[in-house]
Amino acid sequence: MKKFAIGVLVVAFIFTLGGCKKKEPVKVVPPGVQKVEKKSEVVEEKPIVKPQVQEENLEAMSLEEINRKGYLHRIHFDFDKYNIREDQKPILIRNAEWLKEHPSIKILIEGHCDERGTEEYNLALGEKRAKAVRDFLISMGISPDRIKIVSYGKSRPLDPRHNEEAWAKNRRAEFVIIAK
Amino acid sequence: MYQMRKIIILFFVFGLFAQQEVTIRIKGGIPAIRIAVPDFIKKVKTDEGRRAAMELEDTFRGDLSFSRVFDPLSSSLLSLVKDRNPERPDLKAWESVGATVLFIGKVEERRGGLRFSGKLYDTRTGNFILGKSYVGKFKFARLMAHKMGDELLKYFGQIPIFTSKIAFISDRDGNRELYIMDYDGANQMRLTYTRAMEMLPAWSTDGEKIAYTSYRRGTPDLFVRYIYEGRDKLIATGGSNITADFSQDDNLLLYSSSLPGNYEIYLYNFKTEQRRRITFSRASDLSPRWSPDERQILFSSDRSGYPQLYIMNRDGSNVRRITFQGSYNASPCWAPDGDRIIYVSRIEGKFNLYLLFLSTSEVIKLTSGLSMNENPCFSPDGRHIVFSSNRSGKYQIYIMDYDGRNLRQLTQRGNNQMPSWSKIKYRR
Repeated sequence: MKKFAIGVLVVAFIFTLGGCKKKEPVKVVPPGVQKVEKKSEVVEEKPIVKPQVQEENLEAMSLEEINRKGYLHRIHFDFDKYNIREDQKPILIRNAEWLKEHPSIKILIEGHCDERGTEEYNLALGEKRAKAVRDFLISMGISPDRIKIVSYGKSRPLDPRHNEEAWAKNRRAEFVIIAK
Repeated sequence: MYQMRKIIILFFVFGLFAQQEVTIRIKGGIPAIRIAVPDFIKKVKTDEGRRAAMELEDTFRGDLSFSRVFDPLSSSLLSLVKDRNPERPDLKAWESVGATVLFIGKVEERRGGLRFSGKLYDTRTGNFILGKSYVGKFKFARLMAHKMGDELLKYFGQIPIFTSKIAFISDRDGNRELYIMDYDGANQMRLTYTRAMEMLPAWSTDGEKIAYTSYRRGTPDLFVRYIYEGRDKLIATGGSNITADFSQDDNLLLYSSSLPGNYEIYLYNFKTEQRRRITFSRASDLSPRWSPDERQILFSSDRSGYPQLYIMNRDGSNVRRITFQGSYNASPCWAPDGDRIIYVSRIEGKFNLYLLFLSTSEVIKLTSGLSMNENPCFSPDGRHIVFSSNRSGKYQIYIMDYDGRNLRQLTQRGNNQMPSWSKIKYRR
């Protein structure tokens, strides 16, 4: 009996997915209009409730929970460099926009490095990376009072392996929300 | 007059030290003093006493073999001497098997502890030259052995190193915390419990304080831990504050701070609690190290684009570059002889240790391979080097001799990094 119910659910799910996918390529109608139609078909309440829920959520959530949600995205750097890469700028712009939408949020920018530098110079490099990110956000209109920085050098790698792939992951700036 | 005598002693000590260095270099590592250490006389009553006495003897023998000052006779040579009267040793027989000096050790169990006495004889002249004894609990057996060894070193005009310690950072219990251990890796003890992150420790000259960086307040601040009082003093905050080095009198602390926007070198005075900025550049000036005479400061700077080593006068004047090979030279340490500098050089993303002789500008590579070798630091006598390496997978602390020989791994659990060997006063 249970299995049957799950089966029905799965089938229903696949159908809804399939339904969405099929509709999307046909983009003749202006997207705004299409969205309302689509959502009202699936879940009627969503378009009205969504913005309020998010505001309330941030209020209710602890800092750990907010950070776990991952509203702000990390960016990556080139070896031994601290300039913001062109391909990383859109991520920072999105982060800046989110910060503008939530003006009470304060953040800590952590600078991290791969293992191919001494502890000392990696602390310096991580600090330069965090500062480069801070300066970019300030240039996007975020108040400097809302931003703190710290460098962890190479002490907190995302990927502990010793290869190009791991190093590329570990050269990064992370965003931690420290006040809401 | 007193001053005069001190100066003469100083000359004598340094003279011997210099001579020792030359001898070692010419003979390619053959130590000077052939010492015979026959089995200790042991008078023990309990199992615990027996174990402690054995540990004491092993520690003493380990110290002598490690020193590069002594060359203990092998057991097969020792066995050739049949007459073992401890009160009247047959010095001629000991001389005939190649011993220059003879050490007679005696360990007795006494009220839950040990009494360790030792006598040193000159086999050629037949003179009794040194006698010492120590009393302590079983658990201090190693310390008694180290103290006796130090007395032997001092007698021969050498800097005592067997009671020296190594501070380091370990993540064996989860996060990076500050630890200390004996120079031989025994008695590893955790000092901090911040659950934050500790980094880059540096010993004071009196051996009672360690300057280190801690993230306990969120950012890398510089603290001094008073080891035997269990308290900390915040030295520098704002920006990142790292890589400290104590002066000989422990009153002046060099360190690097990014407070002005990039890392600059500062000098902190414990008495006045004032600080003075010494470097003014747009680059990262890091790892300041006093020269043994404290007239100059060695440091690394990326002012040329990549990290290189520089020396300046202690007031910041007369800056000159000293490394010209390789494009990434950092983490320097100045040997007590004032001539040698050990540092890390990065080539193709891997770190190896190099030795630079200031007098000749000669550079010698000390480690090789594809692993990372980092944060080298000289022993107080300049004959040994401690560093961390991930050659066995995780980072561990290793020691080796000044010529790269006698490599020994001191730590096993977790990652163990950023060693600092305790210092010793050269001048008074």
